Amino acid sequence: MLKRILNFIKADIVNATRDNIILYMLIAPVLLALLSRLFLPTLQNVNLTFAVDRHAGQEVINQLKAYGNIELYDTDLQVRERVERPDDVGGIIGNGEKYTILMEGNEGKDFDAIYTSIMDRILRDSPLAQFEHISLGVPESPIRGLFTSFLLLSAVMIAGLIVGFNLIDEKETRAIQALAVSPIKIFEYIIARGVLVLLMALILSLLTSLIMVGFAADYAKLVVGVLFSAALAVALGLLLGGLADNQISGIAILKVLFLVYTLIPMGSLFVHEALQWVFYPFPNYWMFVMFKNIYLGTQHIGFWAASIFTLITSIIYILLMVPVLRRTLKLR
Amino acid sequence: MLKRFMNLFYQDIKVVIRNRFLTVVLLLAFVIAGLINFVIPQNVKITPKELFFDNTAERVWEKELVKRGMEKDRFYYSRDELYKAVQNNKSSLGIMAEGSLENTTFTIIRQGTEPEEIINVLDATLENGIREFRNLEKAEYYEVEFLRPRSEPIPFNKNLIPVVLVFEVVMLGFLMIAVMIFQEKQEGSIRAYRVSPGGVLEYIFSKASVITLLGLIYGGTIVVLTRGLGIDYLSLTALIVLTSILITLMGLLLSVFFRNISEFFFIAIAIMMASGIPIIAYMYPSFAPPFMTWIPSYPVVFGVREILFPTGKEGFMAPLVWILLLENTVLFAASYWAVQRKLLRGGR
Repeated sequence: MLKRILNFIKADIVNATRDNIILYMLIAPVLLALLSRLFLPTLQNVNLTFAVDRHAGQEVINQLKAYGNIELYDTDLQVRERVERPDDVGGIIGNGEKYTILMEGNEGKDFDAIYTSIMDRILRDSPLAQFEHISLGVPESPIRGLFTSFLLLSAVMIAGLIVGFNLIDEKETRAIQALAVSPIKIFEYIIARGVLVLLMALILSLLTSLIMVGFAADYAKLVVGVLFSAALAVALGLLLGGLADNQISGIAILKVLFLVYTLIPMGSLFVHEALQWVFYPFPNYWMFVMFKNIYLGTQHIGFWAASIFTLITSIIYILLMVPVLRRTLKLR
Repeated sequence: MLKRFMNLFYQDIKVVIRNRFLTVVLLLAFVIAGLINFVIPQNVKITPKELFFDNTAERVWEKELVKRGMEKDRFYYSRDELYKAVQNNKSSLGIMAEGSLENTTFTIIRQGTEPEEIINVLDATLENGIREFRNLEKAEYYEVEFLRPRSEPIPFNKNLIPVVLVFEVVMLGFLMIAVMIFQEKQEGSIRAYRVSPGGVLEYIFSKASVITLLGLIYGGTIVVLTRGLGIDYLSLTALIVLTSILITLMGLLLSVFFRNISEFFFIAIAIMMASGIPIIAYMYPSFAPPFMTWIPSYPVVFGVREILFPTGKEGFMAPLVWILLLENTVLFAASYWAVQRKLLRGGR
């Protein structure tokens, strides 16, 4: 049995190497993580932007700098044109005595109130309240942790999809028919695919994490987390490969899978903690909780519980798929 | 030429229907419309959540803010409670008010990762609250001018429709054209096409037309189910068609350089995610670094929003259409060259 599984894994690795899949597999997450690194620092420091007419006076301009980014323009017409652009940027025009806050009219709720508050504070002679600021000294914004968790979800998904498309390829080239008459059994087939997925998911996850947070993560937990997630990647791959007859229908099924796979963790961010139970049947939800435990600190359900639930729910889905796979792949 | 194009078009339509693509996009359209209409909330706070401890004599802040719709569970009743709550929620800020309305002291408990500017804005809005509660006059003469009448804020769930149209519906073409090509390569029909009278033009037009049609069905269903019939469908169709063709040509141009879907897949995911970066600018409209505004999907998503939720903005369609036409022309020329050289080499 072990020999059959090993032979199967070897064949998969040979295929992957021949098609440059390993190379592209490494490029994709690196590109994604690098892109995220590129704009994350900017995103973490999202400020207001003021389009200001130079004639508003240096003092007002200097004071506005304490509240956001300043874009200076020579005329009020230029300020109006800037305000008209798609993003939410308010304009300040004035002559040192009288000021106009320019809004496009389609900005978000309270946007004009924020600009009014700032101008009022700048132009008022004496403050209306005293302020004291206490910092908790948190070193990193939660945005980076969230991004990393989402990128790791996609890393596991990519590993699963390779299996799915390999399976479709086997169907199209009729290699699956040869497997059906070989001694390999359905569970050996699943285990063999699982080992490949695990290797791929590990490489992808480690690379993604290194690029996103460097060594500021518990890598032992990440390895454990990926180990527990491998079953979900296998489930994804088998579902895709089991249902699709060719690459085109594979992409059609992938569209549905991708939606379910990404919407559940995303949706959980907007749902109150008391209602999180609606996500409990989904392994991708547990996997997201598991990664959040690693990158955002302890969540309402801890790392180990989330890891075990990821594994259990994934195995349940695989077991539910076995009869379908037996029928479509004709393996014993 | 028209006859050859029509034959190819019918053939590609059959491939799409046979492979359940039409069924899938219709199913997805209904699911997405259902999520937007019934599941995704109308109000979602994506900026840090402010938590309060009103330690003033008459609890004016708590009374006023609750009256204005703030949830009661954002108020705490001791400094320690507030401190712990802010520690536990990394996306929160704590605000403690002490003294009286005439002499208020605010203590702001921050995580430490927020930019100074945002904290200053918070201070300004709190002072403005005092001004309102005390009915004080404005500091000096200033006024607010709206370039167009103030429009109603778009609910969070409906605000996602442009995102779905540009980054899901239109993006369909990017993967689909590639898959159609790889399938034809694998089945050998591309070799048969090389020796047929069909040329590069018909080949590209046929694929782009089928994918655009599918996009229109997909997007149209979502828009009808979420926004009804009272919007400018002509402008919306123009944007979906032009953007869908653009994305399809991009997918075509790239896919001819790969041998199979597995190779193409990873690069495709990276490119699709890069194209999705403007979603961030759309969700945080104050955030639009220059590099982001150059991504083709950036002006399109805001254009689609203006069509779906008109605010009276005029003259935005013509420049957008011209830009898309220009981008389509450039990509068409590049795709034509690539298809001729890489895909149909050996033919005409």
